[in-house]
Amino acid sequence: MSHGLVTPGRTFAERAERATQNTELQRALGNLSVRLHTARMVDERHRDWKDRASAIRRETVADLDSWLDRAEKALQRTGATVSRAATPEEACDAVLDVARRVGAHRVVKSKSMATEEIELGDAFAAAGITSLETDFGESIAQVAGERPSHIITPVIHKTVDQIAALLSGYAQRSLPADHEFLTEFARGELRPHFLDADLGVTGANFVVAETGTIVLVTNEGNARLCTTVPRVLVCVAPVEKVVPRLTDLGVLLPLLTRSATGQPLSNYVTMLTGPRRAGEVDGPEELHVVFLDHNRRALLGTPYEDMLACIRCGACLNVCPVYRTVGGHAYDSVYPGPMGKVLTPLLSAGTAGLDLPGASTLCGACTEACPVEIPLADLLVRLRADLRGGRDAARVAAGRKHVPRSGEAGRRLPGEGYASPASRLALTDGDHAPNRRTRAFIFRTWSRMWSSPAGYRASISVGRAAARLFGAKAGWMRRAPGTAGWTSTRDLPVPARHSFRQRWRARTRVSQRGDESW
Amino acid sequence: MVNPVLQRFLAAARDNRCTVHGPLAPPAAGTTIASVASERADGGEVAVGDDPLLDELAIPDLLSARGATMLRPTDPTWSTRIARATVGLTSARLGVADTGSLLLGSSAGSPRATGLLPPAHVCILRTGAIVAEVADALEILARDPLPSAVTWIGGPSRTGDIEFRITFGVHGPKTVDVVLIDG
Amino acid sequence: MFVTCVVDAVTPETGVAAVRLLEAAGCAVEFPEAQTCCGQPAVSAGEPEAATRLARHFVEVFEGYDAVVVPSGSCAAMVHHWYERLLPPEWAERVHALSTRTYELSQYLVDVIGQMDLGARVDTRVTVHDSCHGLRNLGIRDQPRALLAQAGAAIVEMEEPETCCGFGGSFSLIHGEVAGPLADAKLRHAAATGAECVVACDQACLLHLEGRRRRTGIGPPPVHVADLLASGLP
Repeated sequence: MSHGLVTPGRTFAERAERATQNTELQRALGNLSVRLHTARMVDERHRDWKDRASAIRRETVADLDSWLDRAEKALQRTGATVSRAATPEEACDAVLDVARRVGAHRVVKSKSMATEEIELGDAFAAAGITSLETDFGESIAQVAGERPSHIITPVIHKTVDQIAALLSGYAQRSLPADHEFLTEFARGELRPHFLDADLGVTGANFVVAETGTIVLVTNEGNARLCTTVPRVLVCVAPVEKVVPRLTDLGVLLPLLTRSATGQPLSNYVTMLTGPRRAGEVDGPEELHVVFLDHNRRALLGTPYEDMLACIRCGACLNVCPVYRTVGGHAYDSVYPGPMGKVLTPLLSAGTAGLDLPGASTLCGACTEACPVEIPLADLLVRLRADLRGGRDAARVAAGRKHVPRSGEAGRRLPGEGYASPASRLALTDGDHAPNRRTRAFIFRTWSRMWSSPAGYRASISVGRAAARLFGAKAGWMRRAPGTAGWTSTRDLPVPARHSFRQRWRARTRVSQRGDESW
Repeated sequence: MVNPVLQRFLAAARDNRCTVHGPLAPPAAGTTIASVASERADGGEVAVGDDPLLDELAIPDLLSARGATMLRPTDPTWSTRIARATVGLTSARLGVADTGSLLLGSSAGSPRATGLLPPAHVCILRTGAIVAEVADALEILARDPLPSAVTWIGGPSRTGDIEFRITFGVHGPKTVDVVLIDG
Repeated sequence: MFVTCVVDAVTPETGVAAVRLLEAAGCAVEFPEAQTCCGQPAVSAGEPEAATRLARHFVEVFEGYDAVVVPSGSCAAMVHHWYERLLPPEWAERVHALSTRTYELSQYLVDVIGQMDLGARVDTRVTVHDSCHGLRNLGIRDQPRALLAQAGAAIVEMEEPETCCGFGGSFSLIHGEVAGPLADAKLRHAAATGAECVVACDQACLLHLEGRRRRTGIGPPPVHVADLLASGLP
């Protein structure tokens, strides 16, 4: 990562700062308010959809390995070949193996965050194979050499003017900044490539275990083309895409599309069950499915397994005040926004995105928007604690296959006496050990002081005295030592001359004389 | 007598930017289908599947009578000519009222590309094949072995990738005509 | 009354206002002096052990009371949402019992004792910011509006009243680059209504907004709902 970002930087804070200073980006991000209420598009008739969807997802995750096995067998029965990739590298190798074996040189890809996650585009390039992004937004990102910034709408960070300029450069002639024109241009440009391709690559929105069916949710038709014309098709499916029964889609599909874009259903849904049958004249002759793990199954049995219920609708991105302010590139991750803030440190086993859980106001809009009821804000808090190194986090539980999932303990935070799941996940802490110890010491001291009324009162008095010392006027200060975090952007309120408890005491004394005034 | 499921389908399909014709009974249905297909063909080839419903309505004959050139999947040059056909004519096995969706199943006689490559798609659907919700359609699909592809189609291909502003005809068909047949 | 550490130390007048409103509604208010802080800063900083210590103290101080009323949605939400996740299982019953008796101020007045008319008259044009934790954890939205309307205030809704103001505890300290713009957006939305003040149930949000407003000059003054209503008491 870190290349192809409109807002580069070493940390989230740096990238976010760039984002707020970028006027074109800010103008583009203003469009996000159009999707602010997609999560509420589940109407009165379908109040129980969220409950049922959550139940289906939890049922799957609770027995993921078993459903995965069933999906694999069903896929094989349809004539598809299935492989499992533990890591992104293994997944790329599996896809490249197919490509080499069939002698593919021209690949067309439909939008797939999983293929972004494994950096398949780069792997193809390294192998000298041309792979073309065919989703309109992804194709624009590819021309720009940028990463997608939203899991549903890849170049929402760009204005129409920027896109026109970009495609004009590509076309070597001036194209108008007109939405319809640019759409027609993309159609014309990409169509020959579909017809010419020898390998199609897609992701999968769902994989139905019962029937071995790959389900793709799209609007443009590019996924239909990728799965119809090329002779060979590879689908890269993260393990949590498995869904038990075809009928489960009755609630998952409309919930996904309504949460993502407000549509009752996407313009196209493609359900593939095996390669083409005898006598058929189109559809892939070979269908390969690569299941991607990449530390997902390591979450099973931990409170983080909830994150595997995610159906990638993007509703949490649409409502997040932080995402709406800084856009997707500030996260420097395949998965931005709230779901990305949880997934990135977990999928990377604590090596990436360590500052992401802290980049949230914890407003809870994401939790509220999530159609499958993932408690995203709570998971962010939990990650903050785990990444700080809870009491047991330093222990790496090598060889422990399964942490017993206990409902009560699973919901509690790593407070006293609770074994942090970080130990099983081998999360490493981004902080240096001394910083971590200092922070822990500060908080321990503070909470001890403030568990005693006397300690609390004493520290308030100190705070008040310090404020007076640093020239506090009329209740507000412009600056004070050690407060730059606040005072860089705001005036700082100072402790009042008399605290509430002092006033209460005074009033109590006064009322003892028969007067209830303050 | 007003059929609420049909009414919902009509409204949803129109919302999806389909042009909806009917419901019509044969023989008017056949004439309309041939007429819409020829119009959309605009002089080019009409890709037509080997489809019992189309045969029942004598569509291939009606098209020939109008001087339309047809491309059938049995034609050995089908795979090169399909990319140049200007209209694809298919039937849908189910419709979903809530979402205005058409469900097409692939088979030897019904290639996927028919309703995909040509810029115009004309799709016929029996009113009796319209169910209320996505869940209902899935229940029906789940009863039998699935074909190699089931494609759900709302309307013309679309994208909102530039500033969320919806534009049409990005990769799939630019126009979708739905001809509803009584029964 | 749990006044909260912010109100106690920084905006005691809000605590006074809350007491006056409760007394106007006919309640007998006590202030257990041993109270300190609900522990929220520790939770948001990812220091649950520190939070647990403060949670224990809170439970011990308050469990003897019929109701605990808090002039802060986020602190009341802390008790409701986090305490049973922080404290060990042997505390579960005590925590649950206490959290069902812990209320944000407007919630207590409107939903629990059904006293919307406190005898306050407020002839002001106001707009309301819905503080996140109060809204999403406790469902506080209609209650402050009901109290304000009852007092004669003219409520003008701003665009996106539910969008976060950008405070988020530690967030605004380490990500001022985002907290600032979020405060600006909120203040601009408030200004566009022409309201004389922007009202909320949480001093954390209000101090953050006022601090920003003093830098930019944009937006009406932020005021706590208790302060505004109490100012209209006879």
